[in-house]
Amino acid sequence: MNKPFTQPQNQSKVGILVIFTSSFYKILRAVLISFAYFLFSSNSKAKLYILLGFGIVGLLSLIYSFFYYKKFKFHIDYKQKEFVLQKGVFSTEYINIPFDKIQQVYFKRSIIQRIINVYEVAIDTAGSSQKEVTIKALSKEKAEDLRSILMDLAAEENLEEVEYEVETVNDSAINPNFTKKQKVEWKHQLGILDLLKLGLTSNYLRGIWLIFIFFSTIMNELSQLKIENPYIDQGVEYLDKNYTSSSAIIFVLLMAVVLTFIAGIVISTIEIFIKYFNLTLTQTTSSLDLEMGLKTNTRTSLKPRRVQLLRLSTNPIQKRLNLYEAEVSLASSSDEIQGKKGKIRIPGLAKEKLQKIKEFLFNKADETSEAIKPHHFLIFRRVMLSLIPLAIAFIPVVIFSWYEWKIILPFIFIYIGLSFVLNKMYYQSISIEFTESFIIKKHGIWNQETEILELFKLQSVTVKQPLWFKKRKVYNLEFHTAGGDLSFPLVREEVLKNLNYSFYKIETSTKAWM
Amino acid sequence: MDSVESQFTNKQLEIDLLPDYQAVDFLSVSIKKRTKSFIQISIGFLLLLIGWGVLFYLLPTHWVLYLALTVLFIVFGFGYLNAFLLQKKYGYALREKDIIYSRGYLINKTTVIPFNRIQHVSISRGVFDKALGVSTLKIFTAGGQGSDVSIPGLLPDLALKLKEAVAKKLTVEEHE
Repeated sequence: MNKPFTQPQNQSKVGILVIFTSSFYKILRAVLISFAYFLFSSNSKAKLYILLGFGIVGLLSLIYSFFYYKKFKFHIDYKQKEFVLQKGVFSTEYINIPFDKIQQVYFKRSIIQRIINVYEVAIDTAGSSQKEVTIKALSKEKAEDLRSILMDLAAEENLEEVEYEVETVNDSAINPNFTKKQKVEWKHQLGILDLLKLGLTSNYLRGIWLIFIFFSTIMNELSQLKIENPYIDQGVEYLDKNYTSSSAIIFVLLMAVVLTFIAGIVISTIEIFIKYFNLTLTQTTSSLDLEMGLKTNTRTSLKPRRVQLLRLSTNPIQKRLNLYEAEVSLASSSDEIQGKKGKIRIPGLAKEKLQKIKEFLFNKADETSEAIKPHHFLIFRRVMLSLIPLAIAFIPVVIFSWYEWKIILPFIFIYIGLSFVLNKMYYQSISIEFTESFIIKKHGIWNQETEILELFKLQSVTVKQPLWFKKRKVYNLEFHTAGGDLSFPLVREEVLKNLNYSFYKIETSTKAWM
Repeated sequence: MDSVESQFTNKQLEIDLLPDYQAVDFLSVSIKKRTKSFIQISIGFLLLLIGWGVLFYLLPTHWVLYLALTVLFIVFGFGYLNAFLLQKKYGYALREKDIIYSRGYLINKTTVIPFNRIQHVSISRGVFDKALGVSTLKIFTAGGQGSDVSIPGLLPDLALKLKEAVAKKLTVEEHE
């Protein structure tokens, strides 16, 4: 039999370039400070040395890349039923992945990989603490061959579960060759206009936060270099001279706020363009295939079995534009549960598309039941918690008596009032539903989220009760899944009986939860 | 799949009639768990006291030293009190299809883990465990840290029995 990939083989030759750029980039990032020094220093001799240093490092990493390429070999061992990879320049490392451990095989492409037209193949494994295995550069045909062969082998190994999947996905017509030929059921694509809409309506705070982080790191690096910054002093002087009246100061502050806000919008939009450029979601009979990204183009396929938690969100403006976001939490290897690795966001979905995704993932119609609210003590608790930063900010004020009480008090009252109103609104938005096969949590004032958890995918449940809630008989709930936790605060005692139903559902379920 | 269909029934479920997880009788853990906590706290306390003594001997007398001593006593006093109060709060219960573990004084937590979601079970014995003759039973699920449970202060035979009982349930579940 002439099976493909039985002989250990290298990547595409151009792969050297990919390895080289990525390793050189890593080194560059590590020595960013000396690079900055290179730019700023006026000493030409130092400049020369640094340039020379960079040249040597570049040459060394080129040599390293060559050997890394030579030593990097992979093949499929059909007898042992595993995919084998060997790598390492100084010491050789063998990585064996049994077929049944293969969860997903997908492509990634950075800009360089796209320029030289190669595909990075990533193999995602289940349950092990090992990170995903990647082969940096393969030609298109080889990459697709490898992907389909590995996926088929993994599917054969997990035949039982795959059968189950086919059943759930397509009851009427079970197609035995479904892995080979998949009918496209529907497609979802984000155009430039959609991305723009998304960018303009997304969470600007994130953009503002990014600016803040960016500037603080720059300032940090600069201060480490101890370069004197005459501009700041000049700026301060200028301000002292020209802005003496309070109205001028307020004007400057207002302008600063507005500018930051605009910058936040721009940054968010750019981020969304980079992340979700050319997003394409295709549903075939057995999976949802997702492709997106400008800088790194990733392709993954979602299988209902792996999905542990579904989070749908929107905000009032996006709702009006019919834009919804779905975030899927996948079962991830043990310690990375809170990490971002197992989460996939699909923004810009119209409502009916969202419905289709839900139907596909759960294979069930929507269920609703009585929405259960937490104890209204939640408002009080949240207001109290919001006072902590105020109290912390207050300590220096009291100790050093910087300000007059008359000035501070109104601010405190505004803060408390605002906090109360917002938390009251939050309380109105939060609810949990225990339906026949789901737990559904809704919450959020501006960003309205709906989290849906299939009961049989639960791993365990924790009920928490702080001592001071004992008299009130309220409890905090925590539902653990393999894709993260879902928690709900302060439910009354009679709600706990719904948990008995959850346990009943888990314990009578024979479906594979992953 | 087939076996499920052949015994298929579809009775209406009364949520109120489902077995209530709160109705179980919790079994308490060995009093040696408290002894272990006391020993551990005492060792820490002793080390810090010695440290304080050295400082007291070396440095000129200063009120900060006395303040530190007071803080030390208060903190460890709470430590002992906490260990004392915690003891009563440890409880576990086995049901046919799940294990329930409850702990915590200040914040009481009760975790219910169905057997068909347990990944594996293990017994661990530290130095103090060995000296006192107790074991800790650890139960792991795929639900992350919040979902995993370790039951301290079990007598070794009991821990072993529990482990075997749970492991047996696991294999039974797998065959179904």
